[in-house]
Amino acid sequence: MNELFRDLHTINIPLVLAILVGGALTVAAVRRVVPRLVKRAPARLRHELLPLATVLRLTIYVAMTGLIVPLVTHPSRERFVALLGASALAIGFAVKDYASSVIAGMVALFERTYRLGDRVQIGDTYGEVRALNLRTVKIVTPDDTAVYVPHDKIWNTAIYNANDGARTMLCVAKFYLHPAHDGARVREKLIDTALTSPYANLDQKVAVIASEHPWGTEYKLKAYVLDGRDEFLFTTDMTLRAKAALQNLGVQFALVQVAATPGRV
Amino acid sequence: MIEFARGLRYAASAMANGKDTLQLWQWIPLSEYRRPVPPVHHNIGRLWRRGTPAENSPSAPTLPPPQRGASGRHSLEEEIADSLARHLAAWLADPTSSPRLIVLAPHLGIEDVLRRVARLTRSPVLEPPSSAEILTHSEAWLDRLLAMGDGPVVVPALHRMFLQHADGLTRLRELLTSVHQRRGRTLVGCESWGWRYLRKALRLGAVFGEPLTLQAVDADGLADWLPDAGGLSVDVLRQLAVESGGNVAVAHALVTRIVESGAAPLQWRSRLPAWPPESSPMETFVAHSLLIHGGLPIDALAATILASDDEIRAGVEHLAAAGLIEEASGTWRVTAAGYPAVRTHLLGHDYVDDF
Repeated sequence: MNELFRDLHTINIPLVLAILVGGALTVAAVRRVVPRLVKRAPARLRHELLPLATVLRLTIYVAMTGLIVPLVTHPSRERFVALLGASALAIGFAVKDYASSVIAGMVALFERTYRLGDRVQIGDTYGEVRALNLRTVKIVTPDDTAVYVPHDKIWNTAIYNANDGARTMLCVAKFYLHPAHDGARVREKLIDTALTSPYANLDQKVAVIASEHPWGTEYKLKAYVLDGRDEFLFTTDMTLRAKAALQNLGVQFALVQVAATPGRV
Repeated sequence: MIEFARGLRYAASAMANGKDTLQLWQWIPLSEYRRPVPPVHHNIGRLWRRGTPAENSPSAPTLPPPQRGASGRHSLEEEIADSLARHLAAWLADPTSSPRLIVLAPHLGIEDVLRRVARLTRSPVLEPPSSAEILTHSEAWLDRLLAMGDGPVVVPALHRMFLQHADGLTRLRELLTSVHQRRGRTLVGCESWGWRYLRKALRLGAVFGEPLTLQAVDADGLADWLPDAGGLSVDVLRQLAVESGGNVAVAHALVTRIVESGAAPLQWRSRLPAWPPESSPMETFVAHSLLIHGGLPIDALAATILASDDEIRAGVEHLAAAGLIEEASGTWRVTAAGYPAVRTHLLGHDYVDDF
C-alpha cells in the first residue's frame, strides 16, 4: 500500500483541494443552473432536458476521480489495479448497499427506468421524480412530501412509470351510478366532459369503460392530461364537471360504498 | 335558377372590380396553409435597427400611423369577402352545392366576411345562439335552420355555436348532422382556433371536406396592404410577416403599437404585449378559451373553466393589464397586438395550434 500511494509530502495537496472545491462548485452550479434553463425552455422539451443535470453531475464526479487518483497514487497499471482491488474489497464489506445504490442509479439513468419529471410508483410511494441523487431518487408525493428511495430498489421491485418520459399521461376519473340510467347518454356526457377540460390533451383519444355491479354501474373516464404535473387537477376537473353534468341528466349516483382496490389503475 | 343567375352576375361583377387584390388574398385548402418562415439567425429587433435610421438621427423619418382601408380600399372584411365570393363563384352559383367551410385566423373577421357574402348572395344567416341557449340545450336555434328548408344558408360563426363545457357540444353535433344532411348550399365560417379544437375534439373532417383558408401574407403582401409601408424596410416587413403569422390584421396592430409607443429601434419589441412572467394556469385557460370561441362574455367564460368567479376575474384582469385581451361590448377577446404572444405561450404548453 505504501508503494501504491505517493508520500504525503510529494502529493500536490493544493491542487487536489482545488479539484475537489472546483468540482463541488461546478456540481452546485449545475444543480442551480440546469433547472433554470429547463424552466425557460419550451414545456414540451422539459422531459428531454431534465436528465441533463444528472448526467453532468455524474460526468463531473468521474472527471474529479480521474484527475485526483493520479495525483495521490503512483501512476502505474499494476498499482492502479491493486487500488481497484482494495477499493472493491472495502466497498464489498463496508458500503456494499451504498455502492449497490450508486450502481443501480447509473443503470436507472441509462436504462431510463425513471427520469426527472416522471410520475412513478416504487413500493408504496407514488409521486413525481424531482431529483436523481447519487444514491437515491427523490420522489415528491401528491401531498408534497419528499420521499428518498434508494436506487437499488430497481433490482427487485417493480417500478410503475405512468408517463415514461412523456409530458402527457393517462388520468382516470371514476363514477358510480345507480343502475337505472341511459348508458349511451352517460357515456357521451362523460366524453364531452373530458373533451372540454382545459387540461385535456386532445391529440389522444378519450375512452369510457363501463362495468356492471350488483350495486350499480361503474364508469371509468380515461383521458390524457397535457402536463403530468396536473394529473390530480385534471382528475378533479373531470370529476366535478361530470358530476354536475350527470346531475343535469337526472342520473342518480350509487350509494353503496365500494372497497378501494390496491394499486393504481 | 334565380340564385344561380344572381351568383353568376355577382361573380362577374366581383371579378371585374377586384383584380388589384387577387395577389393578396389567395384562397387555398387548409392543409396547404404555410406560415411565413423567419430568416435564419435574424431577430426582429436587429432587423428593425438595421431597417430604420439610427436613434436620435436628425434625419430619422417617423413611421406614419397605418390606417386600415386607406388608399381608397374597402375594409379588410369587405376585401376578403369579395375575394371569397370571386373564388367561390361557381360554388355559389349552384344552390345544391355540398357544404363548404371557411377557416380564418383571428382578427380577419370571418363572421363579418360571411355575413357580407350572405348579403351579396341574399342567403339567410343562421345566427349563433346565446351561451344560455347552448347550455340549456335549446332547440330554437336549430329549428331556425330547419325552417330555412333546403335553400342556401350561411353559418358565419361556427366557433360561437358551442361552449367548452360538458353540456356545450350536444347541439353542435346536431347542427353538424343537419348541415351534412341538408341539400341546400351551406357556407360555414369558423375561426382557426375554434376549428382546430372542434376537429380534434369531435374528430370532424368528413362533414365539410377540405376547408378553405387564406394563405398567409408575406412581406410583399404586407407592403401592399399596410398604408405607408414605404417607411418599413423589406427586412422589417419580412419580420412582421413572421411575427404576425402572415395575418394582416395582426401585422397592422403590431405596427400601430410600435409607432404609438415611440419605441427606440433597439427597444421596440419590448413595447409589444408579452405574456406576464408571473402567471398562473388560470391565465392560460382564459386565453385558450377566448381564442377557441372567438371571444366570450365573462359569464360564458366562467362556464368554461372550473374555478370561482374571483379567480377567473383575476386571470382576466391580469391578461388585460398585459394588453393581451380587451373587452368590447361586453365580450372579452385576445387583442390583435397580443395574439402572437398568446399563441406562442399556448403552443409552448402543447395546446392545439391555430392551423
